[in-house]
Amino acid sequence: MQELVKEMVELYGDRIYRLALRYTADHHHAQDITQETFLRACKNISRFDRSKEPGPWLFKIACNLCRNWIRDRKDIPVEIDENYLETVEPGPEQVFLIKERGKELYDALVDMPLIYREVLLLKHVSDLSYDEISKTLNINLSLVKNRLYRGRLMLSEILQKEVGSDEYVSG
Amino acid sequence: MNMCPDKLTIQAVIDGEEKDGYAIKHIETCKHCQVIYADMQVLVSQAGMLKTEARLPEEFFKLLLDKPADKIAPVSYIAAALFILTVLSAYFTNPGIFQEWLAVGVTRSVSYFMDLYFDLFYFSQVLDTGLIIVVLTVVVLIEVLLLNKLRVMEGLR
Repeated sequence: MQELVKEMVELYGDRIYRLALRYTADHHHAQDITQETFLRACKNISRFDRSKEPGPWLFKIACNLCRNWIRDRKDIPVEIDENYLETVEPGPEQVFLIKERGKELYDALVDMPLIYREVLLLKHVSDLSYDEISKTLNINLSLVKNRLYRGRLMLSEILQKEVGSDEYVSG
Repeated sequence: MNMCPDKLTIQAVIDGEEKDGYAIKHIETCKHCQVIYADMQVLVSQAGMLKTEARLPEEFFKLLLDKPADKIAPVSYIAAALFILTVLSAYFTNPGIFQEWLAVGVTRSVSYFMDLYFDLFYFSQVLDTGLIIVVLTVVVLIEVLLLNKLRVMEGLR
C-alpha cells in the first residue's frame, strides 16, 4: 500500500497542495489539508475501486476538506501568508506588484460563490479536465462548462472592480 | 450565423476540450465567432493568473508516513467506560454509598440553593435596589471583559 500512496503523492500531491493553497492562502494550512487528504485516502483505500483513476477521488476528499476549512473559519479573518505570494522576481517593485496581485486574487476568490470558485480552481490551479472536474464534484459536463464560464466572468468582473480593467485585460 | 457554436463550445475549444472539428473550423472563418473567441480568451487568461507553481516540501511523504494514526476509541466511549467503572467500584467498596449520596448529597444541594435564595432575598430587603443593580452590572461587565480576554487568548479573533 505504501507504494500506491507514494505514487499518488507523486502524481497528485503538488496539485492538491496548490488547490488548498488557493483556498487557505497559507502554506501550513495547505500542507495540513494535503496531508489529511492522503491520510483519509489511506484509511479508505479498501473502498476505492482500483480500476479507476484515483485523481477525482482524491480531489473530492481535498475539496471537502477545503469546504470544511472555510466553514470552520467563517468568522475569522484570514491572514495571508507572506510565502503564499510567491516572490520569485528580484526587483522590489516587481515583488510589490506580485504581492498586490496575490492579495487581489485572494480577495476576488473569497468574494465568489463556492460553486464557481471550486470549478475555477480545479481547472486553473489543479489542471483538471472537464471530465475530471465533473467526476470530482459529481455534476454533469454541461454544468461544469457553465460554472466555469460564469466563474471566469465573475472573477474578471471582481478584479476589474478592484483594480480597474486595463491592468487585467492585458493578462 | 445559425450554425455558430455557443459560448460554452467556444470556451471548450480554448480549453482544448472540444473534440468536434466543426467548431474549430467554423471559428477560423466566422468573424462573429472570432470576436467571442477573443473575448473568451481574455477571460481564460485572467483566470490563468490563479495558476501557481508552489510545490510540496521534499520531506512531505516522510512526514505523511511518520504521522501517528488517529486514536480508534472515541473519547466519549472512554469517558462512559470510566464512569461505569467508577460507579461499580464505589458500589463494591461501600454498597450503602448511593443511599448516602441521596441522603447527604441531595439535601446539601437543595439547602445550598435555599440558602442562596434567602441570602438574595435578604440583600434585596437590606440594600437599595439601585445599589443591587449597580453591583450586578459591574459583575456582568467584569464577566464580559474576562470572556473577551479569554477569547483573544484562545486565538478566536
